[in-house]
Amino acid sequence: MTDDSLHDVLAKEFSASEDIVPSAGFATSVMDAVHREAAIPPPIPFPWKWALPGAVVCLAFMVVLIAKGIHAAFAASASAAALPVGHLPAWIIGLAAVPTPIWLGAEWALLALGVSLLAAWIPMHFTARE
Amino acid sequence: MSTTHNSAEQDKLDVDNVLAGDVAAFEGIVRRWQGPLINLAYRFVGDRARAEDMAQEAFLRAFRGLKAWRGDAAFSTWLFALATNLYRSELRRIPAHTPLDEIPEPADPRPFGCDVEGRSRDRVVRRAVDALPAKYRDALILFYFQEMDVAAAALSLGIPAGTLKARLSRGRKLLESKLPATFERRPREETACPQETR
Repeated sequence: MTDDSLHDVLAKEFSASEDIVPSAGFATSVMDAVHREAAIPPPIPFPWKWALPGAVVCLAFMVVLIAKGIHAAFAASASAAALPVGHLPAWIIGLAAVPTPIWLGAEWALLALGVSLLAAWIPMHFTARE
Repeated sequence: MSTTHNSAEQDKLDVDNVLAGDVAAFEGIVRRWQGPLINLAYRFVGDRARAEDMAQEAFLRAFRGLKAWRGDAAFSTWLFALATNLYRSELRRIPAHTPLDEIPEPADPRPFGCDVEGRSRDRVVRRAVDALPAKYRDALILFYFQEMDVAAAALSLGIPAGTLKARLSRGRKLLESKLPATFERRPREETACPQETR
């Protein structure tokens, strides 16, 4: 098959001269779908002004707890005499000295429960508002 | 030329109205471009119903992504590029072609003459094009659909014009190797249908 005859056949097969006419009602069908699409409410924006301060507090709390945990582990170690606590970085010693309420050390379960309830209540509160 | 310019102006006006909240203004875009989008889809899949489904999806995606058209290129260019990407994805999901090796060679080597055989020949060519690897098939379809405008076809595919030309050349070579040699052009009297000579 020569290139010219192939070109003629392809031009005939795929050019605009072989156009089909859209079926009646196609435009109406498209606009119905577009109107349905437009009627969908926009997604709820993430409440950063509420979430960010809480996330910062949680992160700071976790850092203090980790520092206390490292400090306590070193202090309770059998070879504490060989590894005095003073060898720890200064920031860990400083954070470990942050005073915490005495009940917090004993009520981990209540704290976890409170965080879980809050995590469930916040999204329910915002979706109920919408 | 003035018709094209008016269409471009009308597209911009409709887009601005839709973005301002007038959803009904999108109907102008649909009515202007339903024919080209359906026909482009038809070139890809060869099935009218499926072509209209794909064109509808293309319009929906255009509606959703209307903010993405920044006006640096013609709206039609943006719309065709969006539609082409969608149609190619759809073909990857549900192919419309059979593998090139499975296209049977016609057993009868005699030249095609009558219009019926001409239509049969066109079907063979169509199936052969559908069976090409996607990048050559898409290049051929877009090139001929865009009335052999290399720049427009390259824009729709999102590739440089040089790459498009290379794919066209390679695609045609593959077709020539697959299609029978008796597709050569014959003088008209040799291709007359038997009933025409009675």
